Amino acid sequence: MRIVFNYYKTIQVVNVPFSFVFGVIFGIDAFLICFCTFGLVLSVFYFELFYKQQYYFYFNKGLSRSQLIGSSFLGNVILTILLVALKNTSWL
Amino acid sequence: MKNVLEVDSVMIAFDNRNILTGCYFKCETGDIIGLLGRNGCGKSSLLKIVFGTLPTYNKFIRINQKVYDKPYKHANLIAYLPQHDFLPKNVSIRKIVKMYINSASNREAILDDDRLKLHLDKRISELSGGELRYLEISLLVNLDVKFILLDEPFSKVEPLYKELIINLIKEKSSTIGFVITDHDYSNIIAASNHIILINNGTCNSINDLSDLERYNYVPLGTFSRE
Repeated sequence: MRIVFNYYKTIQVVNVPFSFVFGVIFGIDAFLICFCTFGLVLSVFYFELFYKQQYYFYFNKGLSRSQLIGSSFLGNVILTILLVALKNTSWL
Repeated sequence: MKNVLEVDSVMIAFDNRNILTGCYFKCETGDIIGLLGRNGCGKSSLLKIVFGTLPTYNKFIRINQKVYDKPYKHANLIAYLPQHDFLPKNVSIRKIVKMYINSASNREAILDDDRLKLHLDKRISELSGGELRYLEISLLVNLDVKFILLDEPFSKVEPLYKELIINLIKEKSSTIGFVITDHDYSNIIAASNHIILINNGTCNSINDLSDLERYNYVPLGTFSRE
């Protein structure tokens, strides 16, 4: 759904750079873990702090906060699995 | 067939202070209910409770004989315009319309709107206050919903756009029930076909505008002749 993807893109604006820095310091596995966990939490917190009103953009389409955050988490997990698979394939 | 929204027994308190102590109102398709009240009386809270995003310890929301706890979670039921702008800033009007409106005819109606068609490739952040508010309301009235709650639709909007917004609401009221609230009471009165004043935590139906003086909402002499 395009609207859910719009939220997902907005969230990643903070998550990706933060997780990238984390990965540069602690390695690629740290990047992947941060991307799915702490980085996502931080980016959701950032959205709550600076873009809270934009939730109504999604509420008016019947989407709840938990659905948006849950979809973002699921998206990150899927991406992480793909990246791990790619990493393992490259190392074979 | 008319849709019916019934809001009853709404109570809410903040910091141990009772704000709403038992509000009731009913809105049907074709109704444009103007909700007035002083600062801090609970107008926005009431709308958010009806929408379902503000939890409270007591409320009863029924739409077409079915009770809802959070109406916004149910498709094609209700929409809400918050006080502050809510659209993503870095997206163009054209993309927002395509993302938001399912019906092709409704999408075309917005894209062909004389007030918007010159700005379709502008980002939301580039719009003036009046243009943005008009766009927000245009989007909401073209959603396939039964009721729309507008919280301060005239706030920070120039007079020309206020008139356009009133016309838009009246045009769409044949299929949608509206509840609108604002401090700009003259435009609320102009737009609405029924006025409710929140006073001492309850909703009071205003049948004569001079009642607004009696409730000390407006100065004496605003509507009555001495």
